[in-house]
Amino acid sequence: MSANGIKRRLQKDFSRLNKALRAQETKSNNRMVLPYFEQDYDLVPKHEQKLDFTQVGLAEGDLVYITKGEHKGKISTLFRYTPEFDTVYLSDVSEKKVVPPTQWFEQQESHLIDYPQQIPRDHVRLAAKDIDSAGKTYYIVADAVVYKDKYYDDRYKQWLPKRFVKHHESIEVPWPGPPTDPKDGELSTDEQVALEKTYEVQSIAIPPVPIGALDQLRNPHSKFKSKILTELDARRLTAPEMPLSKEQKIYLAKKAQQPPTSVKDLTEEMKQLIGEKMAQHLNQIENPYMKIHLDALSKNTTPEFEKTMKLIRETQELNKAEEQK
Amino acid sequence: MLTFTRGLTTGSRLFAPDKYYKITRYAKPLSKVSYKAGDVIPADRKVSIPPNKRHYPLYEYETMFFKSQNRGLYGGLQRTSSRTCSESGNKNLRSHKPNIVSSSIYSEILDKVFKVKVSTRVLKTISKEGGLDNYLLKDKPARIKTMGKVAWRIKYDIMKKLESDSLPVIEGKRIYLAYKGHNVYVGKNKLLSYLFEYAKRDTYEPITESQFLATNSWKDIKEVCQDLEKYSFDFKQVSV
Repeated sequence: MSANGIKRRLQKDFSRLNKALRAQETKSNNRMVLPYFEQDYDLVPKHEQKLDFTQVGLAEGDLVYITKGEHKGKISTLFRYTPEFDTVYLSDVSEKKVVPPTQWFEQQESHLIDYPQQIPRDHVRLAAKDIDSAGKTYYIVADAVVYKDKYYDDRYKQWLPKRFVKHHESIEVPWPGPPTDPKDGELSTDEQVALEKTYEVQSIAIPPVPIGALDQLRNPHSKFKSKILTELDARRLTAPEMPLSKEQKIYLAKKAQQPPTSVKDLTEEMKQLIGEKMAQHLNQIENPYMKIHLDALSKNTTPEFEKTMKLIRETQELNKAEEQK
Repeated sequence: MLTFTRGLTTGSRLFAPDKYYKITRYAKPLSKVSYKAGDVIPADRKVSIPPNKRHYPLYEYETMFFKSQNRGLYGGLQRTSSRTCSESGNKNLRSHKPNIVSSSIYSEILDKVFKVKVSTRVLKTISKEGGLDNYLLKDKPARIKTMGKVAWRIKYDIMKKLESDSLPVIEGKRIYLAYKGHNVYVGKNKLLSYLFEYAKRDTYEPITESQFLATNSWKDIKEVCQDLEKYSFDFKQVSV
């Protein structure tokens, strides 16, 4: 194993720990940390993180209502969601933090700075602002939202579900505008250039790429493709068989000569005896419920019994055919 | 007169303890799928194709524990444990390992000496059976379960040797195959070299012998004869 692999094995992986162990680990980590730098929120494992804002239900720019904590009752706009901790940063909600002088930025004079406070996602609800017929502004807070339909949002350049207040589904809360307009960087391509079509398929009968060139475009040995075995592959996969010994050959030859086993039908004498025994036993039963139960039980057929009966019928037919000859 | 008895489970074999339960329970699972050319293996099923042809049959009772027993003739002996008890009554676990010695054992049929690790109990059994060949060729299920992987492979070699020895001899020559009235006395490799002479003349682009063998070496002697017949090969030069 490589050195890096060993390192990874010995490192503590938070995402692999369960919730109780994660809490214990953060507690032990916080012991050596200054009180203002403590990690308060539980780390969400990578596979549970919500990376898409439609999963979270809140987008940047949304109004939210705080339901818990010291800022309870405030309505503020969301400016960031952190999937690692499942928390939100709001524009008006901040806390005082102590910064050691080594980490001060220019023109800072105090140890205390205002820093946006992390609020758990569970402590906020989606809010919306509207104007009534009298011209007054009022707020709506949605305890839960439901998604319905889909529409293409040109601002986000993607298909988005429509958002409604749960149980009041006439009230739609539209998604806010995307946070910032994308700015062109060094490596960005112009939108018109990206959307320009230089080639158009004229007919579905003629493939756009010649069939001979397909192997160069695609990976014929890809592990994601199903494999068709060649003769060589099949022979490599099958191991040879242990040859039969002399005794085994003799045994098999003898067995092949033996006639197939035949099952005979019960004789009248046997049937009568079984019937008598059963009648004798059943006549002793007086409980009516037991009788009903046995009656229902007699209608059931077991597959094994069916099989033997079928075998008997077949052998009978064979015997009859032989007799006729 | 008929009498009814309830001979269901009394004295039944159902409750007889399996002597080699540990081996059969913890044997390496084998896939018994038979593959043919043209079979499609979906991408989500992982079937690794071995780089070379398998030379030995798969052994059904290859254990996943105490693995040195797969590398020698242990006769089903494994590590056992017991408790030691001191005078003051403290109990400790200890292990007992089988008595293993490395020994050279001669196989009469193969005329070959095998240097293997053997348990002393198996050495005793071999001398009782009258040699390694008799020990390995015994067909009882218990012998097959306990012989181990190495012994299984030696057994295959012995069986193959016996098979080839039993081939008929005509005019002092061993006949490998009776093919359409020709008693072929040369082996597969010799026939393949004849086939290569035809095959290299049959292609537009020249092929090397290794290229030819890559696509033909897995054929058995009968298939090679069938291919030679297509080129109207004169079988008289290899048959009596």
